[in-house]
Amino acid sequence: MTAPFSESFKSSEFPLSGATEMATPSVRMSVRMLMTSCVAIFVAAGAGCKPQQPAGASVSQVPTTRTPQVSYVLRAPEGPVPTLAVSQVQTSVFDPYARNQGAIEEGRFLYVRMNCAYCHGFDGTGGMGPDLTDNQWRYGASDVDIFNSIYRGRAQGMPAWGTILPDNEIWQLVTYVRSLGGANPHRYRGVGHGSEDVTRKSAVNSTLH
Amino acid sequence: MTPTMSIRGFDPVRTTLVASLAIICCAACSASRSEAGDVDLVHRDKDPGQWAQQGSDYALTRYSPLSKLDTSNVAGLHVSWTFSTGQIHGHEGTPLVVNDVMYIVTPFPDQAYALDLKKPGTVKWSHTPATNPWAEGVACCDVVNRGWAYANGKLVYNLLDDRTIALDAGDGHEIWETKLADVNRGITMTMSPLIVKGLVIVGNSGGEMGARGWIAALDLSDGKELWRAYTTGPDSDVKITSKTHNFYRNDQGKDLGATSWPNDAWKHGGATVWGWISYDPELDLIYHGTSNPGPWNGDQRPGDNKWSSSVFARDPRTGEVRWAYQFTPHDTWDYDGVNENILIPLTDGGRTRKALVHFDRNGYAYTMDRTTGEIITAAPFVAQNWSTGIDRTTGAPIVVKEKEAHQGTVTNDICPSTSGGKDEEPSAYSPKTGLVYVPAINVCMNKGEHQVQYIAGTPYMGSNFPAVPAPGGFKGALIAWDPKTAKEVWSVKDTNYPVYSGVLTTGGDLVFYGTLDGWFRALDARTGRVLWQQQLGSGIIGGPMTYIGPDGKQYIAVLSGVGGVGGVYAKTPTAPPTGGMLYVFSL
Repeated sequence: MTAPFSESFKSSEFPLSGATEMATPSVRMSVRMLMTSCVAIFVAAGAGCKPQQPAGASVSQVPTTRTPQVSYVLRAPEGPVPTLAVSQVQTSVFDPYARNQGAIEEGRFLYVRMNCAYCHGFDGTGGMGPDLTDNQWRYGASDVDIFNSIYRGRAQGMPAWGTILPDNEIWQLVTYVRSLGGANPHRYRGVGHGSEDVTRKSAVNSTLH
Repeated sequence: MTPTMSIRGFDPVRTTLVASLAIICCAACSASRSEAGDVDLVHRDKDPGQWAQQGSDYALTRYSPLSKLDTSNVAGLHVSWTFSTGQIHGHEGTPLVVNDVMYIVTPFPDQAYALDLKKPGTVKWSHTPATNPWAEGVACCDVVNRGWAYANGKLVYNLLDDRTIALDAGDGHEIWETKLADVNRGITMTMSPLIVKGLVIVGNSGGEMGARGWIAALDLSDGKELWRAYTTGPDSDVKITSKTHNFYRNDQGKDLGATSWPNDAWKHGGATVWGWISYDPELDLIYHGTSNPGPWNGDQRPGDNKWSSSVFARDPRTGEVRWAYQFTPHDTWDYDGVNENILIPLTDGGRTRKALVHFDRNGYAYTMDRTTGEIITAAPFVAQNWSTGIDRTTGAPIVVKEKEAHQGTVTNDICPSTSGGKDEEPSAYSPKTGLVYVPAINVCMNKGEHQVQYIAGTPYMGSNFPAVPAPGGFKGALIAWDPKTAKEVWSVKDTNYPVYSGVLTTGGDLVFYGTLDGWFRALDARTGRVLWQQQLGSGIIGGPMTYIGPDGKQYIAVLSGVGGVGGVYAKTPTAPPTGGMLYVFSL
């Protein structure tokens, strides 16, 4: 079956040649550890990084011919959800990484790695999921609105990532989504990190090494 | 789980007894009895004024013998009445007409409407199921419903959230519903059920989401699941048995549905059953195709990946495979094999063979012996460059290695594109002309693959596939194809859009179809000349049909409402926008 966004994809390609395969039942924890490790390096070095296997993490390296198996099922939110599902880690309702170039690149990496790109488009213009570059945002466009959409999911098929990704990575995704320039806010465009085009190009490049 | 191989209700004596008891029971409790009545699904010609099946008949010909409208008078066709569905997503199905009532089902949330033809366009009843909105986000190709079925006073169809429901066709109340799968795992249901001998045959969608394909049979009377056959995995799951005889060497062997995959990749291997099912009452076999393998990145699944992109002939009572053939082994192009298998007689050297014709996504038109699975002819019907032909000894296509998509590179100018040379929109066959009328797509692609991980409920693809122009300077065509000679007879080309509508052909030598920019047309079935056309409110991806109204006039009906994959091509500044509307035409 053809997914509907074939023509909306740009010709640029985002191979994940450096990505670590994940194949164990404890992958959820592994993702956290991997990503946390990555973030720690990122924060310390101030630059993008690829996931690396932290000491003691139960991640298996498998041949590329093996289908990666992930043990969790993302679910639609059920029942009442907290009105503000912002983390215990974050004390601010604003994106702590706002406009940070390194966070944009990390967010871009996660955007492809966690399969966001197949729904929202590699260029963010939508497909199975909504366009992230327009300004018709059903669930709001503030930093915390975007965080909540990712953290707890939304009823029309947006998975709840709050049980899978640590909060700082969700904030990186928020930062990346912000960099696409949708829903808003000229104040985010071209501020602090050059033009939008430059931002996108950098984000793309970050996934190529 | 397939709890039983029961063939309950197939013993003729017992069937009669059960039916008699049912009549007695229903006489005693008339509140639950449908007034809509039955219809003969096998002998379509008994009542040509009705249209009781999506494909007109079990053979999926989409042919109506009606001839009050013909090439001499069709120019006078005009709109008789219309009905808004209130939905903005793609409208892919075909209206049914039984006993002066028209039945339509909308895209998500899959509302059903019964329209009274004695008071044209008025609602007799409607039904809005509580379809889980989560399904909207995991349906790959718009939230469409591809068709609904009628039998025994019941209207039966699938909800996007993996339930099959049966409504009383008389008043719309729900008789049963059966949950078939978990939408949280990216599985949806969009296909048109087929009702055969008291069985409702259904299948799943989700080949882009790491689903594993299956086809299942439900009891029409109560919705109970009677069997389920998978399309990947060991023979016992696929229902390949000692009675299975695959014609070609490439399809022979034990447990190929598991061994033609690395490790246990078949568990998320796609091969879903989202297309059409046809039925031959004489051979007592159903025919259905399977989707692309998952993920799209073929480097993650070396091997033939059976039984993706294949066709199956099965016994409808048990699901057992009589024969199978894989059109596209190790598919790296999204060439699903789900398109309709139209069952036709083929005169071949003085004898008539029971044939099926199939216009595959991979660009080949296959005419096969439907008793054995042997290919009679196979020839490209659109531009294709991924293969140089079909090896008639092994049955496998001869693949151009340079056109295989691989991880870490982009392969340019592969034809056809992921939309295929033809997508699921169904063709029509006229026994009068012997031709098949094929809605075709002439688009190519560049394709690049990368590693993807399976995360349940998210897409499992690993592919990027921008469309590029195809040779010939046109994007679509309505092709008249001779299945005997495997040659195009004539075509009506569309420079700007692929053709994504179903097709109707009639005893009046007419061919009806629509375009993505909303033109609804009548062609001369023998020459392809455009005899009549009208601009509708939205692009057309549904299937046209025809019936005789209570006033004795012949009507033509079609749903307008662009969407689906075709909707992507229709996002141009000059194509009309989305929005569902039923149009009914007459002289």
